[in-house]
Amino acid sequence: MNIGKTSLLVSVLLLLAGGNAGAELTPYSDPLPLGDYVQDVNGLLERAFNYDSWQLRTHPDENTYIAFISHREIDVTVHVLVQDQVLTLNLESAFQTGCASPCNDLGDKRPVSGWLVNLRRSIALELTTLVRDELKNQM
Amino acid sequence: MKRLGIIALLACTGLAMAAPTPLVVDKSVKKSVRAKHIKAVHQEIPTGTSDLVKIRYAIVQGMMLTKGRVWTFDGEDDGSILARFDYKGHTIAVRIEYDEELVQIKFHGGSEAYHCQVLVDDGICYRNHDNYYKYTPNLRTSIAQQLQAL
Repeated sequence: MNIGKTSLLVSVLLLLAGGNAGAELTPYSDPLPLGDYVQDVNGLLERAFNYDSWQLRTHPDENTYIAFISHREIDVTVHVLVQDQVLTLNLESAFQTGCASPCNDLGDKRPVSGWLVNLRRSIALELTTLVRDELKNQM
Repeated sequence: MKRLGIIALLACTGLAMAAPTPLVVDKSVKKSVRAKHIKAVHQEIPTGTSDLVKIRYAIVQGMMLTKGRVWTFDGEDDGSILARFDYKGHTIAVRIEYDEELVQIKFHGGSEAYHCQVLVDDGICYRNHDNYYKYTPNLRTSIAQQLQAL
């Protein structure tokens, strides 16, 4: 099946499934397009991490930043990927600390999901400020 | 065939080129909220300038200065800026369309409770969660104020 037929089929299925209700959004994993507004990703992330005391653990390669927070006896590690000017958050792990036996990964249930939403929002707020400042400079 | 498929896909996902248009509330639409609520969100705003940089600035500044919880930049396309609102576990995204004469908020998407149940003309939401008609008018008011202040 070629791309055209596939696209048409997907379109029809979306329509049949009520696709005109708009885009389905996820709490924190929707990609965030940075566009040309961010020259210093590291600086953007450092400022955003400060909102809720996230720490930049490591920066293992050009596109990956590993963020960590330890809060309410839960250790959370998140991979922040920046590729082709698009940022995405991926939860790596969320472990309760101090378990007698090995702790289970909590996944992105509450309260971890809320922390990830806040992290994405903090980054988006910093991005919004950069966009606003860039437009003001162009005026 | 390929082109037809892509156009159909863009149309379905709301990514097709769109522009602000004067709102005329269709009172024959079933299950609609009251017209005043639709207008409070989707009524077009005159720009007062034809300078597109100034208009974009007013939109983003309006997002940042919205009364209550502010809206964040979530991407852009020719003639539109995506704005996102995350609050109490729920998310709303709107597409703020603009040209040299008008700015208009269109529904883009939402988390489960904020799916538009009656979506007309690719972005005018005739029925959604009550809070959609509570939070989004603040954004429209803020953008209108910023355009006026240019």
